[in-house]
Amino acid sequence: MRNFVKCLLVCMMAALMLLTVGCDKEQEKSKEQPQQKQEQQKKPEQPQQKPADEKVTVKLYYPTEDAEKLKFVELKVPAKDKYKASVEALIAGTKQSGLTGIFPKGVKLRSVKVKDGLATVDFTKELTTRFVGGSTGEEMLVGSLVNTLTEFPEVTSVLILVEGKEIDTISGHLDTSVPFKRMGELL
Amino acid sequence: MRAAAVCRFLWVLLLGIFMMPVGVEAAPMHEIVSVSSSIVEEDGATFLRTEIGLSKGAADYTVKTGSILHPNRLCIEIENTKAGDVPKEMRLDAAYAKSARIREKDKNIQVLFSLAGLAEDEGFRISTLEADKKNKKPFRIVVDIYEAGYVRRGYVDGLKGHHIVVDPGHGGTDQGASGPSGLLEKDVTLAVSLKLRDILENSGAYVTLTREDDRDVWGPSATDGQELQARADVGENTPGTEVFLSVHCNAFSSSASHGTETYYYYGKSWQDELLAQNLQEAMLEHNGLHDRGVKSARFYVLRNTSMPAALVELAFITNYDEEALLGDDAFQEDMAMSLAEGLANYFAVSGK
Repeated sequence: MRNFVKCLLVCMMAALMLLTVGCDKEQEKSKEQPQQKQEQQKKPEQPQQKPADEKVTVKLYYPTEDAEKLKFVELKVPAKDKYKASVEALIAGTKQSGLTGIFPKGVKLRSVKVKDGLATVDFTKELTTRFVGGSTGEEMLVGSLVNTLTEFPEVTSVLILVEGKEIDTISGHLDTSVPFKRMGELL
Repeated sequence: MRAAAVCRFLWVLLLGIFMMPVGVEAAPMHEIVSVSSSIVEEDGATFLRTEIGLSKGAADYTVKTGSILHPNRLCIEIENTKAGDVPKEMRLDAAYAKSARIREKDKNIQVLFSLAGLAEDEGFRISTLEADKKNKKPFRIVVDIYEAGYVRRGYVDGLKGHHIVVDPGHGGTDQGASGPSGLLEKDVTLAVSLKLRDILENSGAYVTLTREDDRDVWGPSATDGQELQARADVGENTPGTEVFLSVHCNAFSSSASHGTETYYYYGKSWQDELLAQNLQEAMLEHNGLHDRGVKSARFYVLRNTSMPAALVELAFITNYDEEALLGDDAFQEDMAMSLAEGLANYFAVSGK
């Protein structure tokens, strides 16, 4: 009897998953989800087997809903655009349950450049003007960006720009005038 | 003829000597014109209130206690004052103070209270009231005396003589975060900071606020960096500042996040972390909210102040329940009290 109930539950969940994927109107965003699932199921990894279209798996850090920690979600992105694709995925947020996005609405990535270990990430003005969050929100935004980019071995620190200029702070707490190193305490 | 000249000279000299103090005496003398005592109930406390009315507005006064011969004596010495037509000896309610006596000392007046208990700072409170023309009341020095052993509201032991700068987060054009019902962070941080100032001053500490009303500290046109530096500068430029305390409300994109946390800047001094721990513990003891812990972060005002500094996040304004708390006067008062206690605990353990 117990087994039967378990079996039924699993079947229902599977059906629900299929339904939600099928029903998703936002086609662009739904592309990420099945890939993530595939990625998570494909353990152990197969790093040797690089696909023809040169995709790499990146770790994207999103804050938990209670803003206590950052947790990663894996995503396959085009290798030539891996920095840009990663930051844009952070801006887009995540549908993973228990996690949330922290980048403000309307913000766009202007550019991301990596040189001598420093990733310089330039956002549009909405990063500061439309930011919602206090001390913790700022920590989580900067932490998600810095920890995601420092997952790439060639990146050791991250500097945030807005409209091409250095900024003192996002909303009055963190000092953003100098680059950040990996923020391991948030993981 | 010669003798007369000498005589005149001596006369002028003598006159000069007598006149001199009168000439120096520029300020007119105050006069005590009324003394009245009554039992007052306020904010759940009962105390004996004595109002000393003065004829010429605000006068300088000093408060003296700690006499070895008269440990129960509370002495208020009012400078450049004489006693007018008022009783020189008054019997009071013995539960608070046996008597009050007015005596002249040089050009000053001493008002001596003989308290029921030892004359200690927590047992009385002295303030002033401006002249009230409508009710025909002069400027008054107000002496409130509590029952012996009563722990006065808003008094925290261990803060006397300490110098503290309190920074109400945001303000003016920067409203900080806002709650789902529209509560603004800048209003909460100011309300709590003003209450905290009252408690600290009441407890004998010296307090400076980075702002006392709804304004930008540097100015409305400042850059974010200038604004934050202006706050840190208040800490740097106020002589003897021992602690810089920034008061904030937290916010997050999800309303699920809640609780209390305290930040310090790692790598400044060991006192910074100790300060943060003491503030965090005291806040949790009072508000019972979720403990998000003591965290190190590169916050501008913490990094750019040279004295031990902490930034407290009272609760999440973006959480429905906690927004309601943050807007509540009693909660704000309680949080102010907890911060005062946290500061006192810090001073005790840091040996400062």
